[in-house]
Formats: sequence, C-alpha cells, structure tokens
Amino acid sequence: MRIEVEARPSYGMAVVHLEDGETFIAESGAMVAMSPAIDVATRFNGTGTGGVAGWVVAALTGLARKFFAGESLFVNEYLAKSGSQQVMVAPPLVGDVEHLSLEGNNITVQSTSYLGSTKNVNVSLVWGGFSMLFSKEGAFFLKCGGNGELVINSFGAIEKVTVDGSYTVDTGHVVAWEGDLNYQLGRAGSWKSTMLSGEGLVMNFSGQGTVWLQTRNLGSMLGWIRPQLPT
Amino acid sequence: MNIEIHHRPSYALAEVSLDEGEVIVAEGGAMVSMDSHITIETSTGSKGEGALKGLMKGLKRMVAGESFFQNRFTAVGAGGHVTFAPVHQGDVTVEELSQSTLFLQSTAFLCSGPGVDVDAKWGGAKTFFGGEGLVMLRASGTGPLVFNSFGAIKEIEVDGEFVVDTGHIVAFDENLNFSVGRFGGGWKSFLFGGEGLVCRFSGKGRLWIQTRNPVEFGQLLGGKLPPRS
Repeated sequence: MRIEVEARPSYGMAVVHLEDGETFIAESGAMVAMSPAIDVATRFNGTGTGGVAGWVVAALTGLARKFFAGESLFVNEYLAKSGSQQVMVAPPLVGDVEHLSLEGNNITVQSTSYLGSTKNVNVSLVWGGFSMLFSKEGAFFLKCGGNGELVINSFGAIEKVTVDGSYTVDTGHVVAWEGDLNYQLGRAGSWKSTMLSGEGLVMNFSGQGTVWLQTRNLGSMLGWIRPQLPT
Repeated sequence: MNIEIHHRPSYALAEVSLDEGEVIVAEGGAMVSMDSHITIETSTGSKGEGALKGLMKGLKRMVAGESFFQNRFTAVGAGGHVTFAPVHQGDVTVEELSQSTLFLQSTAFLCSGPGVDVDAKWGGAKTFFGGEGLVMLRASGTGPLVFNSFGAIKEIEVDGEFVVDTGHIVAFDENLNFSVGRFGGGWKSFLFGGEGLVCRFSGKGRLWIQTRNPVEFGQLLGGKLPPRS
C-alpha cells in the first residue's frame, strides 16, 4: 500500500494505491474515483465481532458515532481484487489532507477530520469530558491506534506544531493530537477576554507531542457567510 | 518581533514570534493558537488611552465592519509565539510601516505592532456607492501591519493612473489619490459590462488588490440558497 496526497493544501485528495488483497476504509461519501478491480463493502461505522450480537454492537457503535461525533453511520471498505489498484478519497470541505503512519502510537482526531484508515488501525469513539459539551465542535473524539495508515483532513491548511510544555489552540482550529499529550478545555485569557474577545474556548495541551491544527475555523466562516444570504 | 506567513495564498496563517515584553494587537477572534508565554488582554483602545476614547474607537471599528474589541497579546517571562488567521479563504501579507500610513478596506485588518494606530475613517459618500462599506481603516505609525484578503493578494506599483473594481481593493498608500466612478467609457459598459463601480487611483504609490470579490461571492452563493429563517 502506498498513499499519496495531491493538490495540497487547498483541495487535498488522497490517492491510495492498493495491491491484491489490501483494504482501505473510508468515510461514506469520500470516494472520488477508483480503478475497476476493487470490491466495495458498506458496513456500519462500528466494530462488532461477527454474528447477530456483533452486528448489533456494530450498529449501535455506528449510531453513537453518527449522533455524538457527527460522523457518518456507514463506512466503505475498498478491497483490491488484483494488483496495482487505486482509490481516491477527498473530504467535502475545501482544505488539506494529511497522511500519518501509526506505529503502535495513538492519535486522537477531531471527528470531522477523519477521512480514512487501513484495517489494522483501531478507531474508537472517546468522550472528551463534560467541559467539551460547551464547545461547538462536540464532546467526542476519535482515538486511532494500532499499526497502520491514517488519513485526516482539515478546513484550510494543516499546520503541525511540536508541543513541549504547554500550548493553546482555539477549539475550532484543532485537527488532531498525539496520544501522549494531555488537554484541558479552557478560556482564552481572563473572563473579560472570554466574553468579549471573540476567541471563545480553547484547548490547553500539555506534555510532549505533535498537535495538528487547521488554518480556518468552520464556525467563524459560517458566521461570515450568514449575513450575505438573502433575507 | 518576527512575522512569518504560512500556507499562502489560499489559507494563509500568520505566525508571530514575540520577544519577552513585546506586544501584538489583533482583531477579535483571529487567534488560532499560542504558547504558554503569551497573555491576552481585551480592550477597545490602545494602552494608555482614556476609556471614552477607547470606546469611540471600538464603535468606529464596529461601524467599519471590524470587531468592537481588540486583543493585545504580550509575551511574558520569555519569548513566545501566537498564530492568527482571517475568517475566510485567502491570503495574508505583512507591511512594515515607518512613520507612514496605509488605508485598508474595512475587513482587511488582521493584526499589527503596538506602534501602529488603526482607526476607522469616514471614506466619504463615494466609498459608500462603491458598495464596500462607508468606512475605511487608516493604519499609521511605525511597525508591522498584517492584513488579509479574499483570494490572493497582488501588489501593484501605481505610477500614473490605475483602475480597480471597488470590490477588489485591499489596501493603498495614503499618498495615492482616488475617485470612484463608473466603468468604461459609456453607459453601455457601466450597465452591461458587469463591473459596476471602479476606483481610479492616481499618483505614485503602492496598491494591493485581492483576486476575488467577497460581495460577488456572497451574491453568487446567496442567490442559490433559501432565505434566512
């Protein structure tokens, strides 16, 4: 398997090259194009162990992801039936795509930033804590672990920041962070700043690791477009 | 202070590195991220200005389409870094002012050094008819001025005359003269040329234009969407 990202950073698209028998899993709706010898299987966006009970677990976790993390209920599995096949995936928003390799480490992804991954990456829904209920971005994240390939996307370009100590990011600009980092939801500056500065909520990261952030904020962009709509 | 712009021109981000004690003033809501040596203070005016003057400045900024409050980011205890981004797609550029003045289209301001005074200025009825807002921003003093565009930014050296669609103006030198008028030689061009009003600059100085027009973009999208409920 080889993953290349093209058209960065404005219109990023991942081209996933698959050899015979290899599988790539992507969010429903993400497929742009694919070569002919690929089988597509659509399943609930959850993990079950097979059998009726397993199916129910998969359906329930898929529903939880849809309603709590804003993800799609289904995912698609692309299985290559011969060598040198490719599937291209892209997010709905304008912006960048980044390919990350997991080697036993964890990366936690803001739920709308997950685009796809290989089968050996475990994707689980994690509760971000009660305080995250106050952020517009939702209280759940996707924790990705294992050994495999992960593809994420952003609104705007992706900026990689190496954190050593502590670092603050506006919640609307967070894409993903490495598992070793701790975080706490907070406010930017004093209460006066929180109420009046327009900065809203921030995530305060601490420890050592990488944070990926996006250079545009969807909530702010919608706030800019809304007054331009007809009345 | 050092300012670097990443990811130009579509999704530009300004990364500001401050030495200990240095300050950058930014538009409310523009902060993307910052390290632990940065503190934020929110106010309407510059430091040391009276409350009333600050309030007036905030109100004028709001009329111009900018935020009422501005945030001062200060590096305390050690050097620090803070990043800023505009709301929409587009570019960001830095201009070093040295006892000079630039006029900015009203939503173009992103951040500036503490020695740059940014004030809203009545642009006269002619800018109103340009459809880009009644008020422009006047940035003067010494230090970095960071401004943003919708689409990419192109800098033009004007020597003589130059004509720009009013929706494509980002900023211009104070010593350029300008007048707003209709496009083309006759009424036919004005009514059917699709350009509306244009700004004629004259003199010698620099001009920054943006490669997309936010009002046209809004009209294109807006016309295809259901009304606001």
